[in-house]
Order: sequence, then structure tokens, then C-alpha cells
Amino acid sequence: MPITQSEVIKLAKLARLSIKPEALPKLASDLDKVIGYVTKLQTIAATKSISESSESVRLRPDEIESFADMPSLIKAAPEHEGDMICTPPIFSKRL
Amino acid sequence: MNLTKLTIDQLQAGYVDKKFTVTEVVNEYLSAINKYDDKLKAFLTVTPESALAKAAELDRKLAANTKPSGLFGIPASIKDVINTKGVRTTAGSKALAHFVPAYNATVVDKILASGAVILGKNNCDEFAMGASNENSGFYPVANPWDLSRVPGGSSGGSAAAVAAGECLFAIGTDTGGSIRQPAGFCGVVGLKPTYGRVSRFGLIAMTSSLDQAGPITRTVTEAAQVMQIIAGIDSKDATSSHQPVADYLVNLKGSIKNLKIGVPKEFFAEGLDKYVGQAIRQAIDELTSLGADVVSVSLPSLPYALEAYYIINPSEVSANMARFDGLRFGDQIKAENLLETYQNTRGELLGEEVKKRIMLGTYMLSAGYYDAYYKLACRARSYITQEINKVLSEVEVLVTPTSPTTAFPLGDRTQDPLAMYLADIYTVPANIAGLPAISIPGGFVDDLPVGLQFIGRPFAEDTLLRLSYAYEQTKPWYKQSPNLD
Repeated sequence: MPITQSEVIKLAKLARLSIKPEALPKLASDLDKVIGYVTKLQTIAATKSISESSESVRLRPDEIESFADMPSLIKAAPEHEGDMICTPPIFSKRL
Repeated sequence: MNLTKLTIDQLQAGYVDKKFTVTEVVNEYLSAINKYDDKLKAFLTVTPESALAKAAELDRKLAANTKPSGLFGIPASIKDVINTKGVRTTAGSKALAHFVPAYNATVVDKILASGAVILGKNNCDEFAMGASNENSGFYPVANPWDLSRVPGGSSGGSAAAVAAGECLFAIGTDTGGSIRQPAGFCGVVGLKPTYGRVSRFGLIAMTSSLDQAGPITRTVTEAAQVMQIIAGIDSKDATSSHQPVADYLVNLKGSIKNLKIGVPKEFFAEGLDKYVGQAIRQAIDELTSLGADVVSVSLPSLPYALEAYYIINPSEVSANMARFDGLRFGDQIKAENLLETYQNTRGELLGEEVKKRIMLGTYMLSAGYYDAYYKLACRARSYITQEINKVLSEVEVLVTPTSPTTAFPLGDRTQDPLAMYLADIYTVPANIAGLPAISIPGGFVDDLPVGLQFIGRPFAEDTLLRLSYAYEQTKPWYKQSPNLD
């Protein structure tokens, strides 16, 4: 199903992007071309044995480990207080 | 004597013999940048003050009889997606036009500790998304061999700078071919290491499961010399490997007699330029005459690697790019409320290709499409990896063209995303499978360089370098350089 301009608007909203109305036709066309191209991958799934059991992502065991190099990460920050990194304020007092 | 033509070994021998100083060498490279970069646009930031200060420090060490080793006194440049402490790092994006990192990437720390002198930051496609360098948020880079053509991408500025003698080596990044394809287009050597061989700490992430940093140099020996410095485990990068680092120089000059090399027939099918194909076949004949055992192999799933790539890539891009919202990182365009601030900042400061990939990733990861795209692509990635590794258990190296064509004209593919994406078709499989791969000069077609690619087993960078060196000795294409005067 082709990507429509209204779908582009929806995607842009989800992705927190403002898109100029004049850019919509080209974006819709480009996204549609790429989606159409990568959809061909479903051919390989149909013709090759990419089974449900095929490993999709190789993950290491989910184990808690202590991080050995914390001091150098903290030191790399422009400002820190003890083990805490100082960041600029996000909201002004006015807000 | 033109100091920018000398190799690492020749420069360091010259320092010992007091033929010239590091400061003189650095000044000559800075002059080359001043002379040529108006035409090439290979640099986004040049750092003459810090470069000359480092050169003076190294000259004092030489005066105190320090013997140069590693990258001592070697002028380098860094792709602008790699963090450099105190030096503007834009990722080729207007969104980061004023971003100055608080720390160095590990790869930068390593080359600095080894004595390299950083001359500046190289232009690149925005956030490394592109195959022509035309997606730079600032200006496109020109190919030193023909200024009307692209240098490739995304490390196009880095490859152009090395080819033009604006630096001796560059550090680039390769997610789908971004070191090798521009190296091929510009007639230099580009090595993408095995995933995990070089630390990614301090790289501005594009596709975290595929990104790797690596060297771009004029000769194979120099690629080995730089690789020796940057390879190795890093506690700051959980994906860096514990695998011991090989000595890339000790066996560099070894024989390739009986080395089993596979030629995947799928790489020589439709889409490959006839004359590029002929140049690569001549190179393969040369390998045979050097004693390599060249056989035909088949990798039927290879054509699907690009499709899997263009699902995995935008999916990870959409996640990685979320941080560039004008609050956490980058410049900000203020609006009435927080949501509009996000939207306007990202909408106005990010380029078209970046926005396109963010939206593609958003689409492919959405609840209704996740299984049909991202999950399927991950499975295909496993399948393709297994297929390549099976073939690589029978042969040690695969030989292919780096790209289907030579460098194409600026503007030729900007209106057609698929035509641009197809420029990566021969380089993407090595990223998908996490394998090391190298592009070396493999001849010329119509006075434009042709890239010859070798893909190896995991962590077999030493084999790739040995094979590349053997070919380079019989076909020293690197001795030809572009005329920019």
C-alpha cells in the first residue's frame, strides 16, 4: 500500500519533526520507494529457511555488573559534584 | 622536497636524521589545506593552533632524543562524527553547528597518545547518512580526481583529504561502506575493522550495531600502522572485543601463496559497470599470478543484505537521533511549548535524508509493522551472516569490487534515494555480518580510481592487510595522485 501524505504527517508527529507542506509530496514518494524496495526482503523469508527459530538478535545474559571505570566517566563531564554530573537547567524560572 | 608525499616511515626517518622538523611537516600540510580545500571542501574545521602546539611539543621531544614510533609526528584528520574534546564536532549537521564535546573519543585519545597531530575535522554526510557527501549540512565535498564528481560517503571528506595530501591519514567511520566506498572513489586505502575491534566510545552513533571506526590512508602499510594503534578493547565500549590484537605489521610482507580466495558470483551480476568489472577481474588475475588459490563461490542471499540494511539502519537511526532535540544536544529553535520546540528544532535543523530515515525507522518499528520489517531484517541478518561465514570457512577471503561504478557526478543521484542506496550494495554485507573488509586502489577507469574490496573472517584484519600489501607491491596504483594545481 503506497505511503500517503497523511501517513507522512502522522510519522512526522510521532518522530517529533515539523515538515513543511511543500516537502510532503517528495517525502511521501521517497518513503514509498524505500518501503517498496525493502519489502522485497519478504521474498527471502518465503523462499529461504529463515525460520521462526532463527536468532534475530544475539544478546548477552542480562546480569548486573559493576562498571569498572566510573571515575573516568564522571571526570569527563564538564562539571560534577561527587558522583553526580551537573547539567544545565532545562526549564527557566518563568515556566 | 614535498613533505606531504612522504610515508609514515619516511617522515619518522626524516625526524631522526633531522632533515625536517614536525613543525615544518605540519606547516606543509596546513599549506596544502589552505591551497586545495577551497576546491575540495574536505574540512569543516581546521585546528592550526593546536596542531602547531603539538608539533612544537614533539620537536622538543626529538631534541631530547626521543625516538619516533607509532604515529609520532604524523598529521591526521578526524571525521566530524567523532568527538574531539574542545573542538567543534558537528556530525556534518546544522543541528550540532556549535557543539563542542567535553571528551575525546577513545580512537582520538589513542592516536594522540601515539603522537599523531590532528589538523582538523573532516566534512561528511550529515550524521554519516549518505554515500556521496552531498548530504552534508554545510557543503558537499568534491572528488580530488575530478572536481565535478562526488568523493563517496559518508567519510568523503576524509578520503578526499588523504587523496589530496591534506593529511597523511584520516579516521573515518563505516556503517554500510562509509570508509571503503569513498576510499574506492578517491583511490586510497580504507579499512573497516571487525565489529568490536575498535572502540566506538565517542562516535556519534548512527546505527550502533553496525558502526565501526577505521583508518583511511594512502598505502596498505600505513593502514596497518594506524590500525595497530587504534585496535583493542575499551572498558568504555561494551561492544569492544576481548580478542587479542594481532601484530598487523609483522606478517604484512608475508606470502599469499595458496591463500584461498573466493569470488562471489553474485557480485559480478547485473548493475556492475562493465569497465569496473574488467578492472576487478584483472586484479583477480594478478592475485592468481601471485600464487593465491582463487575459486568461484556463491552467496545467494547477498542481494538481500542491502534490503536488510535499509531496515536495520533507519530503525536504529530513529532511536539514536531522538537525543537531538535541542535540549539534550544541539542548537535549539524556541517555540511556544516543549513539543513545538522539539518539532521545530528537529524539523528545521536536521537535513532531508536524516528526517527521511527517522520517519522510515518510526514506520518500521511501529506496532503494526515491527514483525514485518525490523524482526524480519534481524532474522535475515543472522541468515546472511551464517551463509557468509560458511563460505568463509572454506575460503579465507572474498574478493569483490568496492562499488558498482566509479565516482558519479555531483547531483546525479540526489533525487533518487534508491539509486544512492545502491552505491553501498557491495559494502553492506561486511557490516551486516560484522566482518572486516578493506578497499584498496584496484586500477583506473576513465582516469577515475576503482576500488578493490577484500572481506575476511572475523578479526582477520592481518590477512586482509597481507593480501592487500602483496597486491599493492605488484600494482602500486597509490603512486598516482590527483593534480589539483
